[in-house]
Amino acid sequence: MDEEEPKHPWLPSRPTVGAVLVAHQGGRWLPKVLSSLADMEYAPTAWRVIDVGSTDRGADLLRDSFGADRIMYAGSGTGFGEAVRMGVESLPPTDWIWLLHDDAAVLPSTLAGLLDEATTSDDIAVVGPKVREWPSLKRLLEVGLTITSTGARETGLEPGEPDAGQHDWPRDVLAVNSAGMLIRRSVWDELGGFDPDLPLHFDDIDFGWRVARAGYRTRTAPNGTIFHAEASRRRVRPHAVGDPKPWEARHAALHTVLTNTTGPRWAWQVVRLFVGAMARVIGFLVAKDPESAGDELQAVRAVYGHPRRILEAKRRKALHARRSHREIKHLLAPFWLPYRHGLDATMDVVVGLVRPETVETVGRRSSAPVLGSQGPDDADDLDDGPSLLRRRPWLVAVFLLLVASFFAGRGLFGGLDGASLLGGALPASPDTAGGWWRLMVERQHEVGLGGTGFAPTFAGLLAVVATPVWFGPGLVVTVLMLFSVPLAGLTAHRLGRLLTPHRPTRIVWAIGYALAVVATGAVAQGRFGTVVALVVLPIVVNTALQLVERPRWQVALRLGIWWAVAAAFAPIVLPIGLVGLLGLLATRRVSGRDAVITFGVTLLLLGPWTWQRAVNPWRWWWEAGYPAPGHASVVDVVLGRAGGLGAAPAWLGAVLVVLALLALVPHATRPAVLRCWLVALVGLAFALLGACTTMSLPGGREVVPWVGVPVVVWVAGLGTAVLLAARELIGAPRILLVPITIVALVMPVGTGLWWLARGVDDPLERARPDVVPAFLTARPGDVLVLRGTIADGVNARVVQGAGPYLGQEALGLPSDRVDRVRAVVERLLTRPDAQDVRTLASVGIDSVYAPDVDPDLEARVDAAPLLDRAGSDSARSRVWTLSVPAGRDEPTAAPWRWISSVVLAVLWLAALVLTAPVRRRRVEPTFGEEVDDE
Amino acid sequence: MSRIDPGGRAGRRPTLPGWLMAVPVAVAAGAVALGLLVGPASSPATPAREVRLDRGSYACPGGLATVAGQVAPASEATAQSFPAVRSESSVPAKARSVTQLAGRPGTWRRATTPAGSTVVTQLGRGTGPLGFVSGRASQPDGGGLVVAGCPGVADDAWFPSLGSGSKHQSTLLLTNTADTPAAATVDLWNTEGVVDAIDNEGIVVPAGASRRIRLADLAAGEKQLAAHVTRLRGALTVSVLDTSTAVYRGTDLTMGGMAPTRRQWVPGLSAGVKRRTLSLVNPGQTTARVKVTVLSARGRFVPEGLSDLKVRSGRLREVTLPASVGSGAATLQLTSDVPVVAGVRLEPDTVDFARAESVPPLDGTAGIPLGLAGTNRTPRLLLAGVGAKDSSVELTAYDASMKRLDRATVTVRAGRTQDVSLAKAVKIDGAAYVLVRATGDVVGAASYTNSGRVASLPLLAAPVRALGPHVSVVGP
Repeated sequence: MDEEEPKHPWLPSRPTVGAVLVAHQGGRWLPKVLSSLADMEYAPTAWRVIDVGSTDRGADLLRDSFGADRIMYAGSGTGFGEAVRMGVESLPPTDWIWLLHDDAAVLPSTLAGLLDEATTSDDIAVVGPKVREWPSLKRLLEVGLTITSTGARETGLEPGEPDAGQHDWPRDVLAVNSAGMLIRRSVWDELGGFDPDLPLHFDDIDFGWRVARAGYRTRTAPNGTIFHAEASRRRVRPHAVGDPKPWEARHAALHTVLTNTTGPRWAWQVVRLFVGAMARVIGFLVAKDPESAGDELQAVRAVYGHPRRILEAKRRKALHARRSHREIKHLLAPFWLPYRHGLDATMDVVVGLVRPETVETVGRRSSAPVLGSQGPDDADDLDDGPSLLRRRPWLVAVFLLLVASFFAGRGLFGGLDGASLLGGALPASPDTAGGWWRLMVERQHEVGLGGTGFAPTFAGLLAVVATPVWFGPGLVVTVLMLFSVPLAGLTAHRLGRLLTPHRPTRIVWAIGYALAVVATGAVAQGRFGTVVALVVLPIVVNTALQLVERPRWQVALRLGIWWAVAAAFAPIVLPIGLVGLLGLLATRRVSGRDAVITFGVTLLLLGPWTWQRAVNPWRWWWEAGYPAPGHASVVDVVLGRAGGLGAAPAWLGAVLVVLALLALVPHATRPAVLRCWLVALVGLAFALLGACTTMSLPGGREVVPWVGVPVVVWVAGLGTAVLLAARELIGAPRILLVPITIVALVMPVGTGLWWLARGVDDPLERARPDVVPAFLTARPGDVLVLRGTIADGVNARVVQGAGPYLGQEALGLPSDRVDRVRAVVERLLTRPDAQDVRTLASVGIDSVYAPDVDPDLEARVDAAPLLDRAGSDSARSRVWTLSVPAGRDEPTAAPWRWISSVVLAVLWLAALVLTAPVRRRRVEPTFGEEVDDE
Repeated sequence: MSRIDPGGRAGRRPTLPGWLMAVPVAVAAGAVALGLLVGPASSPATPAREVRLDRGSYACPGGLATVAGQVAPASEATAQSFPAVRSESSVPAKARSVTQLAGRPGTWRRATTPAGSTVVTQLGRGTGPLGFVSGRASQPDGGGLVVAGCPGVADDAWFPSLGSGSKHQSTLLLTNTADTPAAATVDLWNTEGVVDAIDNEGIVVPAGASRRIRLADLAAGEKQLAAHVTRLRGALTVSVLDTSTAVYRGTDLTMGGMAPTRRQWVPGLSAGVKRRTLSLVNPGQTTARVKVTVLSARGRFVPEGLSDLKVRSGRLREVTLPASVGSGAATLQLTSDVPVVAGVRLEPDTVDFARAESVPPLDGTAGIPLGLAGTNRTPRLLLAGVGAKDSSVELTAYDASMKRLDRATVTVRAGRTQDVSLAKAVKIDGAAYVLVRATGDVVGAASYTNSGRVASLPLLAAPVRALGPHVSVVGP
């Protein structure tokens, strides 16, 4: 121990200290504890040891160490406070009382350090040591305590925070741990010791709170240090009859808060803690922790079922109170702390639920070093070892992809106020996440012509994800679009772990997949649905492989969830996945039950918006975002490109096709390679089908579908075939290995360089929504936007406000209004009449905007009565305003429409809960089962 | 989670025959071949198409006998008299309903309309509203016979043979049928080139009003003028009242002819007319070479001197048709290397003149009103076959309640003009109008006369259909 020898100003008039050690089943820790007590440089004046029904060797150790005359025995079930009371009453009168636990070891200078602080002022009633973790010794557990308004024990430390002297100054606190607590005897007697209603938990905080209310101070003494195993809290103490039940911890928290809160706040706390407890019960049930939920209910019953006991304790404590709540308020935790803890806990639960595979950790504490074998401050210097690139090549790769994403997305970050990532098929994001929430629950959508249809399922998912960034939901879209490469790489690499143990090829494969997403042109063209689906697709495959390997209904459920997520953004994933599922079913790799669960869950979670697409199956091609037409040729598809702006040079894909053909050659890997080819062929078939057909959209428009998703399925299948065959090259002669490696790197390296050089803008851009000029958005009615020419056809869009945001573009419009507008626009552009304009006004339109006007169209609109020319925003655009006021008769959906969204949300929640593992409380070892790790 | 065994499931190593590796390649190649065979799809073209109109309106110059009708019974009809205003800043009086022309949409109605302009609007899909005016102009206005159709809203109108001199005055009749102001620009040409007119751009007609613009106010002193009226905005109808008080005096009202084109026909050159003057306007940038072919009753020929008429760019040229054209009924066929506008001024004697306008082949149903005020009861019908084959023309006579009285079919030989006496072709006793439908390429005009006065009414199909765009309503 390297503690410096302090100067002790109290030495001339040494204060007397009576030590009380309470032991209960502490045989595991007592040898070290007793050894540390024997080495103190300043020992207590008197000792009392209370053994509470120990059935292990602890009783013998205590007897051997202290002698029978200093030991008292208490029956099983005796609380800590009661045991201390017994010890204190049997002690001779002393100035101070020092409380010790059987799982807390001290340093030789601990008591002296406590007395150094305790004797600095007469109003100091309690002094507590710095508590470090045992057996790690280096981590801080407590340097003073307080309590939140929700009854949570708060240390103010980060979990696992190492002790580097950062808290080594004495300060006033609300309470200190009873392990090592030094109490002025007179105050102890005045306050009557610990609350007898708190047998084990929160007795220290309750006592500290009462000390503060009585006008005394509680101080920390960092010069005094103890090492605490926290055996009771961690439930590592062998169980004995009469031990407090798990729920009593929560009961003690509620009891402490309700019996020490004063004034009007008490009534508020009574209600708040009850409501909070019910919310915690629901939270525990959602997180599949029924035992904790039961504990919460038990605690509520114990507190709220005995109001007289609470009131009596409150009155009793008030007798000694001399300071108001305001005077001690600074010692309590800030009001916002419970909410931060709640957010942290929620995030932990969500992360645990969405994690695609179980990740086991060793926890935050190591069990390697033990007290005595290593000094508390003897930290080993770790060898730096190999470079980070060699130790964590994937981590380095991800970092580089992130940096590259920043570079490729140049010009698309930041921007003007109100600017949003948009362009191509991507509409702007809503102003707040509330826009997506509103879309899910509103009866009548705020879009042109007043949509009343079901909201798209992906809007609900975006709402959930964007809620933490409420005022910047565009951040979610930006991250998904501009960082799609590292995101897809992460999910692909996780899948790659199942495919090959060979790390370099796996990393190249994952990066290749990630770059395939951007190589299709999906990002530059604003194909948000494709991007999200391709990020999620490796997780779907990963989960499907897990289902094949471990056929459990929970895995089937999880597969259904991820499949639904991908299909919600790109519905074409549904039929592609269905082909895959039928393939697995046909080859008996999944059971019929699991297949039904998977498909059924997917259909249920996709909800009515997707079901509507079944009426016109070709609309499966329409993804999240505008249905901008695709431009893929057959050659584009074969070479892994979906055509249009922002697609990588097609010849880069030719290399992959050649390698995939070569991958069929090795005999050993041929079965797996053939399976990959099968997957690739499914993608190819869908891609060709899409490229060679057109889909009909609502409103009568027909476009060639965008085939980004099946193209990447084709590319990923070929890439995986190459990956699996690559292991046959291990050990191959260098003359063969080098050229193949170079060829294999052509596609990812070439695509990566192209990505960096071109960037991902055009038509994607960061700008304010410009569907209509800003001055038209301020008008009370909707804007009829006309694009196209009389000769080649005109597209009419009715825009409300600044135009639709992501999710609104997918809403179905009332067919009667669509037909009405189509007919009236046809007439308007053929032989206009005043009645036509009045009809436009009747559906809420009060202006007409032609952004790139066709002269013939302009002449025809000009001929319409009741239309006035207005100033436009550019030389090529024209604006007309209606001379008649726009009508406000918006269509309304059935009152129950919002219920469908609620049901959908419940289904998603239920699926997530069901797929999560049930949490079980650790079973405490009984005596004899205890494993001594020393 | 165990890794996927690249060789198959753990514990067994299936041996697959070598030919199996060709299967995916063959399937992929087959799929690609099929794709190449079918070819990549493209968004289907959505060209403009003809749509049946369910309403229509036209404006008839006021102060004349007006006939409002349709080729099929309409469901509703309204007629309002729009007052004439002197300037764009004038506030027009409130429009008045012309009850004789409103209502009874299943009949042909007649009324003498107030001054200004009368706008008739009819509802009903494919009813083809038609309006005509007739009468005799006062002596100061030439005292000639006027028979003309009532124009609907058009993007532009061409008038090849006008004037702004002291004895040849032309007046633009502009009617704004809408509730918002309309505007137009007038471009003028004479035989020397483009006329530098005054206040000819942005001529505004207030909402619900008509306005008369004398060409003399834009460019005075021009004996011969050609005009092009371009609608800038608003719903504007255009017609021209042309009067002459010279030796060859008279009056005519016209809706204008075809826009500049390389091939056109001018029917309605009735028999016995002493003087026929061809007006040609070349608004283009290069000299036009025009060939005039005469379709007479005996066949087609090119008169001497008319095989290669040069019309310099940006100029009006007037050519008196030579005697070799003959005095019988005829139709002119004009072909040129650049688009030109053409029309013929007919001067049977010194009492009146008429104007034969260029028209497209009849595509639909045209109406010929009978018993117009100021005319003989029955006009003559001049039909010309302009196609390669003979055509047939169906003539159907109706009474005012649109009850069919008689039907006849006339064969029109290709390349010839046929002068048909309606009274002989069909029974017209009690008939109010005759509908003309052609099978084949036929152009024609109805020629009205009365006491030496003459008027020509070109056969134009009633507006039943119009070229409309294919409209798609895309999402929100």
